[in-house]
Amino acid sequence: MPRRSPPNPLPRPRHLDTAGYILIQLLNGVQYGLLLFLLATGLTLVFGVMGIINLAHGSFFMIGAYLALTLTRLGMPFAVTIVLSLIAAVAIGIVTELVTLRHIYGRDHLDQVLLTFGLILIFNETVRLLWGADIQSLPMPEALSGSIPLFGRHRYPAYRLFVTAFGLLVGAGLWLLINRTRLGMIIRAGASRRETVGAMGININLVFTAVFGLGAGLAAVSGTVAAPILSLYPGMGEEIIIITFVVVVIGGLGSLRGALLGSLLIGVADTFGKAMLPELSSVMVYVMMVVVLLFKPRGLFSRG
Amino acid sequence: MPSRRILFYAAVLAALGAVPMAVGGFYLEFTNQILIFALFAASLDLLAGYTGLISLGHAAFFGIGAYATAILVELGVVRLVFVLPAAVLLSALAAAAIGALCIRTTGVSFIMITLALAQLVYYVALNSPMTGSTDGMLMFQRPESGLPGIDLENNIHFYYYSLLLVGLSFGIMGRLVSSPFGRALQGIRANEERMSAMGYRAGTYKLTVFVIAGAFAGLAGHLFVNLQFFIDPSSLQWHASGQVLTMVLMGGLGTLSGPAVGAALFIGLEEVISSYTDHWMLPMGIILVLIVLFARGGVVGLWRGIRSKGPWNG
Amino acid sequence: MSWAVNPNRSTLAIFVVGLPMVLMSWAGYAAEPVKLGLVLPYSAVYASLGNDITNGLELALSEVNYQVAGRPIVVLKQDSQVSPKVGLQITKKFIQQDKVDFLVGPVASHVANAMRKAAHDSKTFMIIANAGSVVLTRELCSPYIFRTSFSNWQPNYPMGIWMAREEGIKRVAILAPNYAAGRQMMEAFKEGFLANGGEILSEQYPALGESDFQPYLTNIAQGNPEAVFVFFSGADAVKFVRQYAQAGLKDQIPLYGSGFLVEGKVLSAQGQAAVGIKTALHWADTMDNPVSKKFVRDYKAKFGEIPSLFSLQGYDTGHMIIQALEATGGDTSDKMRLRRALEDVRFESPRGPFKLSRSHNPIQNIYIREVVNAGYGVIENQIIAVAAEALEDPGTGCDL
Repeated sequence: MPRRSPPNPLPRPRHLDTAGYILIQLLNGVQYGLLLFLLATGLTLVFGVMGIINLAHGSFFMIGAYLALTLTRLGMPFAVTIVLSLIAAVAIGIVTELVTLRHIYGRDHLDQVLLTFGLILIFNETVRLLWGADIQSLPMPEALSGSIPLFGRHRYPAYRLFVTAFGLLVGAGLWLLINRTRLGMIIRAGASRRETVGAMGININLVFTAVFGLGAGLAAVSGTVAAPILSLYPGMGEEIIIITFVVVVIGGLGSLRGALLGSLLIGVADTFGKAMLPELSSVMVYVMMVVVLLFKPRGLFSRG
Repeated sequence: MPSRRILFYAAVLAALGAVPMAVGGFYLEFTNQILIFALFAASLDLLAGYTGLISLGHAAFFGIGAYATAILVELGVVRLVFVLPAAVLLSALAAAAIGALCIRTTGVSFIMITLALAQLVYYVALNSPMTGSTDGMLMFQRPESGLPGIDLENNIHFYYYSLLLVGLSFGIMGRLVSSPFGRALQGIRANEERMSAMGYRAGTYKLTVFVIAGAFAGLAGHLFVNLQFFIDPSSLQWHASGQVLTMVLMGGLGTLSGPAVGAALFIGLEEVISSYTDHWMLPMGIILVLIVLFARGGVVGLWRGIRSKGPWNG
Repeated sequence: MSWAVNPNRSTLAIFVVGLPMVLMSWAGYAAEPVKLGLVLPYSAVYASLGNDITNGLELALSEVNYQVAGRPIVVLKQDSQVSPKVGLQITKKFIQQDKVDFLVGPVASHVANAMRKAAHDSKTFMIIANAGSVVLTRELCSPYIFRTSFSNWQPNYPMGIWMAREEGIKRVAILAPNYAAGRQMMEAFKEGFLANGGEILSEQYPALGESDFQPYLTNIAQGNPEAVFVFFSGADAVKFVRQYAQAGLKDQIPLYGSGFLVEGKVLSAQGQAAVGIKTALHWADTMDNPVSKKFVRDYKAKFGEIPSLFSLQGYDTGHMIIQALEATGGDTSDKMRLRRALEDVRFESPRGPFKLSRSHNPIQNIYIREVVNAGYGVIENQIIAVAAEALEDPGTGCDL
């Protein structure tokens, strides 16, 4: 059996610009956290309103990335790509809801888990049939492909600053949607008291379809936006989605505020974990989740 | 009824016992593998089917049983009387630790925390110096039985060893689910608050069954590593947990024969489909979705449904 | 289950490639075919590697019309799914059911480890066409296991020496995924680099499948090394190389690596971000020798694409089997004779002279390649130096 070498020494900052270093890592963490947030919102929204746990959420992340690949190859500008892949993913989400999930509301979580596990297999294989199994990449939009000098020797990728801004923008948009629109009101009502919505004469099935479509769209948009940083392959969403599960559990299932704070917490902690203790970074987020659940079994921001 | 059931199980056991006389080599090992996964799936059904605890991290205990066996043998502990209890005990201990955390939560949180804690175990297997990382661990020999005439290196002897342990386990699980303890579990599944109001300490029951299920999964892992002479972290990944849950559902939840049938069906289907097409995931996914939508009781449910003149056991 | 009931009827689909040859064999002389069982991935992320190896192998076999010493060659294949469990199951079926003469594969080291015992115990020859785990030709070497690819030690040890001596680089940061191959490759690099006056500033081992390398890249910028040496493959290689360029490090700190970092389809996915990276490997598709040029030309004509390193390894696997069979006159029953024939195989491979070490690993040249813009949007690896000639893996712990 191959044996491990002794643990490697920590990469030590050799210069005195430690403050700059820490700020950059903090920025890395916030940026990663906001990417997780884009994914977590859809997941937690779908759960909060519909009570559905969607394991296949990562599949929509993958679909968003692959749709962007095709649209970019067709010569679409990046902004158009984002909008079109969002629309297409919402449509795919709605069809998925109508054909499968629609029929299992009111059944227990096991059915949801297995149904969405089956969907993962189907989506992965469909993507492979349509786009092939080879690793591919989405070119970065030209305007954002450079890097910006920050804190002495460090440079920061311009595109990541865009992802940060985009994450904040989507977060703000969602807040407005939920707190300032009729759909938002229905969503809030549906999340807290399902019967109320029925009593209000609103078609709850329609609300569920819309919310699932929205969740799928949010996952797809995060896939589109993350694609220029990542590589594309069937099943690409599965690593990041498990971290997203951790985020929503820590934040409190169904809570958007929890999703935001959970994302930032995990993003920053994971980044510093990678930077300082890379060997342990893969387990650290899970340990954090255990600690949170020990003290708050329903997450930091659970309702009720 | 009970006598008919006992007759049925005796017939199944006899048939399985006759397998080495009919076939050898590949098909013997194939049957052996199905036995092992039948045990693994049934142990999960104690949680998912009987108690309503949906664990998406059950592969962790399977993996611990397997790694414990491989590591002990590598360390030179080759006597079965030590290896077997140690593998089962370590899995049970891990299940006690993980279970104590998990049962504090319910519903989706429970699913998520089992998933996350199993990932933790997966990363430990991936990173710890004992486990050979992604390369996995090779076993150069099976443990020594210590009994004259019984050599586990012999595949037929090993098959009977598996059959004995799997048969015993099913016997124990069968007694368990029909005992007052088992009925309490099913009561918790139906209505936990009512059971608590009746004075049952639901938490203790849940933890106990979690540990028992973990121990049986560890036993399955012990057999698996002996069958393959090999274990690697991919057997602990969450996809492995998802697969075993699929086996339970395919066969039928809340029964013991269901998971066994499901394991045979899943492994058989996987082998057949993947030998015809590289795109085996697509038909598997579609079958899974269809079962959830239309045949909730799995194969066993369908069978019972047909016998009671209702095809769909929704 | 029909499995248990009908032991003699295999319901499994088999791709019989050499069938025409069977039909063409002489009337009255029905030679028993030589069977090759391919245990390779044809699905998921490694599918292209499995396909490339298969194509390379079939190109070599088609050169002799799937016939050696009067015996037709039949190729059986089934998807290993890069799973040790499935790989082992297929291996056992090939050995026990189909009674193959050679196993070919696998891509991944954990699958190779799982297959090892079954091949060794049944005395079935296993020709490893990719998996580089060092133990397979060291502690776990076997009379029946051969490798036509490389050991994880091979490209990286001479790269360490070359960087320190020829490039004059003394302070590097190294990075690899935290798994067996990553660790083995970094150990080999350090062995060569440290012995030649190099200093390792930092070692970082991100998780396998890491999606965000930015924290690690910030650490690198902070440490300000003269160069960075890494090993990544597949999806991780694409992510790392692109993120390295996006972070603006590409123009500041030169990137070196194990050749897999920028090989085949990975390189086309990386595009411009990979230009300038120098890596070590035992071949490049641009190699300027007649054998390599013929191989690339024939492969392109047959399959319509440029061969990858994995195609080459499949191709050489085919040649090795053909030559050994010719030496035994097509006899596969005398295991000892066939083993000696395999051990004595020598030929001119596209990668240069090919022969095996005592522990059954190739003795081969290691080249330094640089990714360049070759014009017309083509990005390719060009050989700029030979890091080591006829390099032999130490084979420590193997007593064959």
